[in-house]
Amino acid sequence: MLGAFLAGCGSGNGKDGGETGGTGGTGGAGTTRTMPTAEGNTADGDTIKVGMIASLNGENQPWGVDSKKGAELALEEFLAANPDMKVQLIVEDTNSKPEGGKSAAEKLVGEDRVLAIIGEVASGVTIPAADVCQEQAVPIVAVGATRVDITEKGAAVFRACFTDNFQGAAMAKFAYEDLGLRNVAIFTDRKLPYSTGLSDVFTKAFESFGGKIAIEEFYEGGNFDFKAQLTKIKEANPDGLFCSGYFTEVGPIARQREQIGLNVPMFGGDGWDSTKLIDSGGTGITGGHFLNHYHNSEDRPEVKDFVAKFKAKFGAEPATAMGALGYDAMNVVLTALKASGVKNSKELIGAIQAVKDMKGVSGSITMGADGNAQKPALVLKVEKTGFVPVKQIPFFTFEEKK
Amino acid sequence: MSESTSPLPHPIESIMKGSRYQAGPFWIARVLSLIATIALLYGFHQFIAPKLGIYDVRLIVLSLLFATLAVSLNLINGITGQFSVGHAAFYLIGAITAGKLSTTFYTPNPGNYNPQVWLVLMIFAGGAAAAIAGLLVGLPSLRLRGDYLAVATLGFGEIVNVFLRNQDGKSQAITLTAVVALIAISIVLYLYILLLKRLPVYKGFKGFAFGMLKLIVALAAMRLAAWGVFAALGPSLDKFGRLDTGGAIGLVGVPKLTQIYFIILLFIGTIAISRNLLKSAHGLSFLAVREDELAADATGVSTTNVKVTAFAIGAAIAGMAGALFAHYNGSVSPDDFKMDVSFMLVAMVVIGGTGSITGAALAGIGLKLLEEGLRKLPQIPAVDLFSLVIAAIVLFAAYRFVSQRGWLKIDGGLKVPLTVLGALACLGVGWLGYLTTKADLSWVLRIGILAVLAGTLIGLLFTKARPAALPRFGLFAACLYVVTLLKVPISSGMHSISGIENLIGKTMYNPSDLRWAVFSIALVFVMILRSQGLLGHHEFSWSFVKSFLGKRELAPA
Amino acid sequence: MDWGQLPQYLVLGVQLGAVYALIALGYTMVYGVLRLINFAHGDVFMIGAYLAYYTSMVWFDRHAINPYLMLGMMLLMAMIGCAVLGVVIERLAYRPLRSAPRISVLITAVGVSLFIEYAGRLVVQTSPQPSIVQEVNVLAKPMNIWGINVEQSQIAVLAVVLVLMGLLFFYVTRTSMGRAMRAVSHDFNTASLMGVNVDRVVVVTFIIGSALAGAGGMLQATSFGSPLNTFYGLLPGVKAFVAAVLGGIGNIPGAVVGGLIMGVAETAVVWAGYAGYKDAVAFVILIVILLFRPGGLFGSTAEKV
Repeated sequence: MLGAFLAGCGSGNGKDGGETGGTGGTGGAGTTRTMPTAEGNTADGDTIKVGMIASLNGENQPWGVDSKKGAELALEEFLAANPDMKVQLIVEDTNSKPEGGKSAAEKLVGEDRVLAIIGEVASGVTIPAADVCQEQAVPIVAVGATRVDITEKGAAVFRACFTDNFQGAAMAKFAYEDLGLRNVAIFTDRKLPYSTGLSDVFTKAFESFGGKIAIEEFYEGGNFDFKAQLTKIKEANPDGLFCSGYFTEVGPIARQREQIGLNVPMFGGDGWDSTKLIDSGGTGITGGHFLNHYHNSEDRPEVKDFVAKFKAKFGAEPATAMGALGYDAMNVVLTALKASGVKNSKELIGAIQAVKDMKGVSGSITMGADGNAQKPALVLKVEKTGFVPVKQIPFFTFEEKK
Repeated sequence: MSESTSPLPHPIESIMKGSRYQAGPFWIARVLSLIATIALLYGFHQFIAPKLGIYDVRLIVLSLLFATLAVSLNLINGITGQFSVGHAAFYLIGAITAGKLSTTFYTPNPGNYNPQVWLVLMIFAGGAAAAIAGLLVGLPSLRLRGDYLAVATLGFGEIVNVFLRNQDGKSQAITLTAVVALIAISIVLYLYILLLKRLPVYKGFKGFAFGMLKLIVALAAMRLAAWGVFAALGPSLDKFGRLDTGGAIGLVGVPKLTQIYFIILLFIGTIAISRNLLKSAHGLSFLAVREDELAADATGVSTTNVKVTAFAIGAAIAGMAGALFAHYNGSVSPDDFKMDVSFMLVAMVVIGGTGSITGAALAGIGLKLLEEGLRKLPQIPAVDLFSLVIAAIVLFAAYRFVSQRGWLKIDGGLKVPLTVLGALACLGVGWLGYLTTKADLSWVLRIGILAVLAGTLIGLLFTKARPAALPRFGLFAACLYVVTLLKVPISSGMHSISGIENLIGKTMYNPSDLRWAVFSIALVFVMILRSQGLLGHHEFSWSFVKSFLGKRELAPA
Repeated sequence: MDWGQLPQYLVLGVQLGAVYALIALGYTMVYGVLRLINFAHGDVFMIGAYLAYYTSMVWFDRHAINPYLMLGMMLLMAMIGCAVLGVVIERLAYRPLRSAPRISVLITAVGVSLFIEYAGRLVVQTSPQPSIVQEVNVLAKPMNIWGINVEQSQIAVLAVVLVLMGLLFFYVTRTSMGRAMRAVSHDFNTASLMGVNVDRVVVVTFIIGSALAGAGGMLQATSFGSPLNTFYGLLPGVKAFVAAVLGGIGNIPGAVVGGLIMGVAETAVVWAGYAGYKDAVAFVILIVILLFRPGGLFGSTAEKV
């Protein structure tokens, strides 16, 4: 039966999350996405329940906790400004695991009958939750999940952040133009859908600009010994190192690459966003660059406002960008609820789709036809004392030149 | 206290004696039960299944699947006595095979296959793939015993996991040509061995012609092997691409074809297979291998066949369960099939009772329900939890201290007061404990504890050991109550120590996180106190329940 | 497969293997004495790493401390703490099961391991995963020997392992307690009949074995600087068990050699380009060894199973 694989021509089948053999959609970016066929949840009575899935435990805890705080802050403001609307937030813990995301979403949709779900911060955890939501006709607004194919699942899936399509291309542009790199090595976390997706886009974009990929090596989230793979990377003589994984591994990677003498600039995506990176990366990570959604020190009034309110409620500034993204995601849902006045989750899908020019903390949010918010990104540099904004990259669409 | 005075040991006796086989009633009973099962499942599918919420469906599916897995593992561990700690690998192989075939060949509506028929095909495919893996594991097991076998099966499980993690269609995956080559080599070798033993030529010809035959076959096999190795290592032979099962992220997009009745059918089928195997003459040889392998070998039981068959059947069932899981979940991620799933399965079998089919099934359902059901409980503040633990430790130490000095005489004095205290404490623990401590445990848990205590008390009333058992029980219930009482001052004490308050004051524990810690402690306790598990070698039956209540001695099994 | 780079990988492999050797020593000693595969041993290793981390955090603020002294303190604290833990585990979980069937003891070991991991997780709270601050590892300066990049800490790790192994060897062969340990591992019942206090011997075995594992944890965490979580010890523990089997279970130099071979094998697989399979190497070696030479490299060829 294994020989049947031969006829199936191996790679590529079933790897992109499209088919679920039922109500799932398979539209690519830009084409119309399938509306779910289920009935959706209806609010009984006046209270509208909104669910949130967040990694309150596990590797993604700093992000999950921040996103929850941001959402709570948004809800508090909204209820103060709109005393006639009754909205309740129910938060479920996903434990930073895809299985956790699935069961949390199932519980919220099936038991609590929420009208919308906000979450999650990690692409891998969001994917199964998005499947559930698309099947059950409940809209889901992802907070920090950047992997491209998530919103392709169907019309019920949205996100408040940019996609890896943009992020990978933007970082490739920065590496090529600003850092002047031509021969880059990539170190991917092959257990993380976010990382593999980002590395893919980066490769295509960087090569289309004229750069070369010296070598791509892999590790798995949870590993602690990268020296062997880093030595292999060193063999290939790159002039830069792109690490598309999470800060939990990037820190030790930075330290170990310095120990083995691989002295090249490092850069990566929003997975680096945590002050823990500076602690675990030490001198190896200072000087590195990564792409993030916004920064607390930005001049825009929304940012200043948000940081002040966050500090007042929780006692400290938001530690990661997920606070602002959670805030924005919640506001997307609340704006849609208020503007449309619907009480059914399936109708809410259309209302969220109509969100335009919402002034979010992380940028102005307009839901594109593909469910993705079209926002700029900010390049941050890692210094010993914190992250320093370096450059803003406005939104552009990366078209793969054939 | 069994009625018969026959010299034969009980299991053999029950098989040999028993009722006389009468064809008519036997077959009527079998056919009727089959019809009844189908009717029940049909009714379930039509009337109950559509009403279930997705969360309930998940509970039912997972607990039944794990119960099936536990029963299949019981066949290897409990009935044949081979210690296998790598069962999750078979589960994974079945899931990946079925999932990969579905994503490659199945198209949904209008589609080229009826969904149910396709699913059945996939179940068999998954089962077959896992059975082959089971054979592969079973063969080395012939040489290994006990601990070494355990670690070897653990290792095999990890090898399968790491191997499948790497099949992502990219440079580290195995090339399809290599896969074909390996299959071809195995077929050739198998045919070689088969034919060699079957050819009439073998009996007659020895010497030159036969030697030539062997040489030719050997050369052909070596040529194939060389081609295979070259194909595996040579990227230029990469014409057909590389095996892609989704790598570390796993397979996605598997069509969701599974209905609950499939899972129930598999569950019932597994129990039926296990039981029929156990009660048959073949089953006796399995039991013999478990009890004393050397003696079995000496008596003429083919231990090789038995062990390999056990592994193959156990693995096949696990593979079928895996196929069903893949088509329920829609995705197969190697991360969900790691060592801890294997450990959990072994724990299910052991806690339920090694060798007991119903024990394994019940433990499987129970533990999985516990795991999923615990999510519903509210969070427990860390300080509360620690103060409960501290109170329990203090009380335990005090009890040891007291009983070592003989201050509490159970079989001497203090009987009646303790009995009364026990009955009262039963009622009190649930209700008063809540009032005084505001432990805020969900009412499910409270009623559960109450029910267990009440049930035990009532059961004790009927047992022969009543004079000693009831006071002991009273003491136990009283201790529980005292622990809940003690918790209050301890926790307020902890709150007032600012250092502790700062450190863990705000921490809330999720019951489902706690479950693993509690589960592992429970495992250790069960092992120390009753190492044959809850049901031991017995099955769950009326006689078991009656023996528990002290009415009748259980025949040794 | 760049042959020129091979020595570099060998050095890495030796560093990794040295840590495996330390853990394997504990496994091999406990198995020799009790015929028990102590699954919880890998978790003792993990606790050692955490203890080293906490020690470094407590002392780190006082900059006046000589960094070498601090490293020594971390090592000491890790070893002592793990020795205590080992004794506790033995007393509570393994002693009651001295005469129980092997499968029960194995499951208990698994239960203890799971408990340490999950309860530890509750105590430590998973994220952010701590890692030992870089400045602590003063020996991280790389040196260049014959074109190979070698850190001082790699040499230090190897040195510590060799010293500990030497001490252990001396202890086992030259002292009376060592003789008692060898006697018990040879034949438990007869040794007790000869007047050896087997309970004491078992306790001493656990102390030494766990202390070594703790040392391994501290060395690993400090030189690699990797983030710690409570499942940190699971995989290295199993690999170290394979190393012990490879060298001949019950055989002390064998455990060290086995550990070094395991480390080098793992790194060699990465060198060959198959980095993804490096975790599987350990188990393949295990199965091959169990099939063809179950006594291990230094053990007897007599069927040990």
